[in-house]
Amino acid sequence: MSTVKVTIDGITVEVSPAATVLEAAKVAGVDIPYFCYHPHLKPAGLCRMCLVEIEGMPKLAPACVTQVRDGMVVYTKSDKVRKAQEGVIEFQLLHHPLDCPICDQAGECALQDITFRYGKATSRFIEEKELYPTKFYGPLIVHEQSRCILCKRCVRFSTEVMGGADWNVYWRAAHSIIGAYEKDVVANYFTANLVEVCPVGAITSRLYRYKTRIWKLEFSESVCPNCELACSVDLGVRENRLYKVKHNNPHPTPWMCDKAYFAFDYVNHSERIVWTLKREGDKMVSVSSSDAVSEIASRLSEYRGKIGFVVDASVSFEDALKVRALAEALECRDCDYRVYGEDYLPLEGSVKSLSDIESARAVAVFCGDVGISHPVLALSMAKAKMAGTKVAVVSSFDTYLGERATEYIVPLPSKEADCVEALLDGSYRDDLGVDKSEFERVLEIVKEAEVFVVGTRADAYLRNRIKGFAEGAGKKVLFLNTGSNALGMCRAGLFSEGVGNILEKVKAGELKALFVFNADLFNTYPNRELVKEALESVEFMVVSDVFFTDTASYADFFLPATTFAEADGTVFDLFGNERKRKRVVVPTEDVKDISAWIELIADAGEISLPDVQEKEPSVAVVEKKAEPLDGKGLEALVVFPFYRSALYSNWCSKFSEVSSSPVVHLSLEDASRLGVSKGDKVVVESSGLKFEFEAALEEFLPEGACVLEAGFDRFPVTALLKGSWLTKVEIKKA
Amino acid sequence: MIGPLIKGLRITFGHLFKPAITVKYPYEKREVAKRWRGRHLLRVDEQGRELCCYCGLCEAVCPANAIRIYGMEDPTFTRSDVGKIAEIYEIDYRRCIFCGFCAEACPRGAIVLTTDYELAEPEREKLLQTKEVLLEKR
Ligand code: SF4
Ligand code: SF4
Ligand code: SF4
Ligand code: SF4
Ligand code: FES
Repeated sequence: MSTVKVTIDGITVEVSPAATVLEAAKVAGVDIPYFCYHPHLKPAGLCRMCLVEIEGMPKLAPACVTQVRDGMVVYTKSDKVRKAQEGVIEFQLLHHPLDCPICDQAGECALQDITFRYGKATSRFIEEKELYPTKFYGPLIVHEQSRCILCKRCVRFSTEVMGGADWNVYWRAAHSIIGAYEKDVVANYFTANLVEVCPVGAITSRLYRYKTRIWKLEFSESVCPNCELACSVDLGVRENRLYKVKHNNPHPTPWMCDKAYFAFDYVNHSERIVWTLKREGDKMVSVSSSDAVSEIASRLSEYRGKIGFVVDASVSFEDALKVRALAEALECRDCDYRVYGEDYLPLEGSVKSLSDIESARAVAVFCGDVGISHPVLALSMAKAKMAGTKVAVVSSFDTYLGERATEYIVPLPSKEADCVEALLDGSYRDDLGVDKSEFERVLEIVKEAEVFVVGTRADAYLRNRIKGFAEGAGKKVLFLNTGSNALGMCRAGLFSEGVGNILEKVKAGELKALFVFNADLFNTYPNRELVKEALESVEFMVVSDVFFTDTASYADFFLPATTFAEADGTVFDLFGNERKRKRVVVPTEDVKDISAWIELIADAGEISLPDVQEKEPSVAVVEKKAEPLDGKGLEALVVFPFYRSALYSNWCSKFSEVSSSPVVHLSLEDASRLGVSKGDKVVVESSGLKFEFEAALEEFLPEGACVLEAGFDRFPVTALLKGSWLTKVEIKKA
Repeated sequence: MIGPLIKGLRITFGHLFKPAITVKYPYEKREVAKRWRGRHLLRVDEQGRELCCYCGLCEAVCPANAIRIYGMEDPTFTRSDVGKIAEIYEIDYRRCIFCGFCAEACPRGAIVLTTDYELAEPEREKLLQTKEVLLEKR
């Protein structure tokens, strides 16, 4: 590619002809102040802070929107530029309240820094400043218009990246205000980025609001524990407490989601159990950790070969290896991480980075809600779609990408997999219950697609089917898994025949003891009755977790566990890259990671832990499951809503506040038949169980289907399920 | 030999008849300069609302690292006129060197040093003084 030569303040650099003067200055190491420019958003030329003098141009030019020319000579420090910079700052500050002492952005504010470096110390403005009221947009963010400099970075993020126009500029000129039109809550999975892109303190996080000052925090790099994308985050710690999680490294994308930004405060929660507990009759009493460890160790020999191990997929690779080592030392084979009852293991799908998806001409997404399971991936697909990539989505329920896809099929949940198979076969079938022309349009994109993205709802059979098809057709596939380190769990060999199988064996008495690490089976396993029966019949159970969950209440011993911020560890992201979690908070003495607990137990019981190697998953050929969905009423898909899908969401104050009560999503047809409108209370009934939900109407849902939200504290919806996340329920207006 | 002795005794006896320069503390107390830098005070406005808005400047400027603050929201504006107050405000008198920089840095005149110099405490830990002690309202 040809380059052009530009001279900036006497430094000559070669840059691509498409570069702007501001980008060339970055290459030259010359500092040009800016507000509205953002490296990952389109230039807008709004703030005029970046004015520079260019030889041969009569007027000063904004560097962020001026393209370079060969031989261009630029001055950024001339008197003319200085004067302009002072003038721009004076204008920016006309109505600015200058309340840095109160503002949360102070210390990392572009306006503060630039005023300090380029501005004048005095102002000629003596008139009264215009003030606007502060507006709280729900539990996550707050917007203070008075501080806004109208750089539109937030608006450009919403429209260019996220693809929704509700966060915008209203009114005109000097009266412009930023916000969401006629909306009181802004919580769109990516709210965090509004806070992050705002160069001033106009949009701030309500979770962090006023708690501490940014310069008191010490930041260290780690990774987000909430999904397989393992976004790079900076953890801000003060006095051994985690106060802020920021995205600071454009890996894997320059953006982050609300799970990372708002769902970490469980780490500091006062309900955390930080002592070792032991069952005495009906009560759990606190014991010293060494006593607990030696008692556990002494009981283990009794159960040799009869112990099940259940581990949540969010724990680190090292911890998973240790669990397997203990299992092998005790001659146990039943260990598994698939606490959501999945029947599949991670499959290698040849997509090696996000750019494979972003650069594809067409992408097809099957069976899942990527916006909830892998938020940033959905964001990058939405962005790619705006740049011209065709995105087809086949999903019974998709809360984010669906609305933004080029083409979209919403089959009944029970027909979702059939629909995908029909697309692979390339032939429409009447029994799918979807519109034929819609199907044809999606089929076009599926044929054209270079990448298939397979969501978390696709079962093992469908995954193998898609893999086979894609290999034949020369397409790349990306298989998404539940849990942030599923790949690591699988590599550590922590799988057998599924968590359901372990629970069945416990219930049947084949397994007598159970170790559960970081998983609340009552919340995650789609068969509450089975979990209950198993845990009631187990003879000996050790639970290690952060909170005292429902599962823990059946335990004989409770070992306090570390969170992602309290232990070093490796995880494997979606593409198989190794990512490092870092210990930034030192927990109290009794709180230990899984590896430490297992080593202590092994020492106390004189068990020698074998050196376990990585294990290749055996890809079994799976038969298609043909379980007819029986019962009366509507098909009900049970899902975790976004604001319940992060780790320990119920203990994340602001994050969980966004969805305060469980919602049932109804199709418009069913709603009108039942006479239900938005916000009404409805009763959901199945096999004698009744739950009261709030109704929401969903334009995209087909008639005969509804979606129930799970994951709420003291709201055991999993009781309606019998091993799969799909069931049938009857709905009545309350 | 005897000369220096007499000289010394003369000074000693001479002082016996001059007025004493020490005072009988604590029965008597000395006036101190108006700008004396003693114990800190966190000021409140006429309505009893705290002036400190936790800007953190005193904490940042303190050369002895004696100040520790955490903030919180005051959504009802009852304790502050700006909606933000210090939740924890501690000055550690084991560390403070009474330089007065904190008072100088404060943009709201919230922290001042008073003329109170009686800072002794029976235990070292009590020298860590919290907002309850420092607040004017007490
Ligand atoms: S809210 Fe922030 S990002 Fe948005 S226009 Fe105002 S200053 Fe810019
Ligand atoms: S996309 Fe996933 S890894 Fe990235 S911030 Fe969100 S939850 Fe964390
Ligand atoms: S007087 Fe000086 S040393 Fe004492 S708290 Fe204030 S700034 Fe710190
Ligand atoms: S400088 Fe003043 S307003 Fe700021 S934290 Fe200290 S006492 Fe409070
Ligand atoms: S950065 Fe160039 S106009 Fe704002």
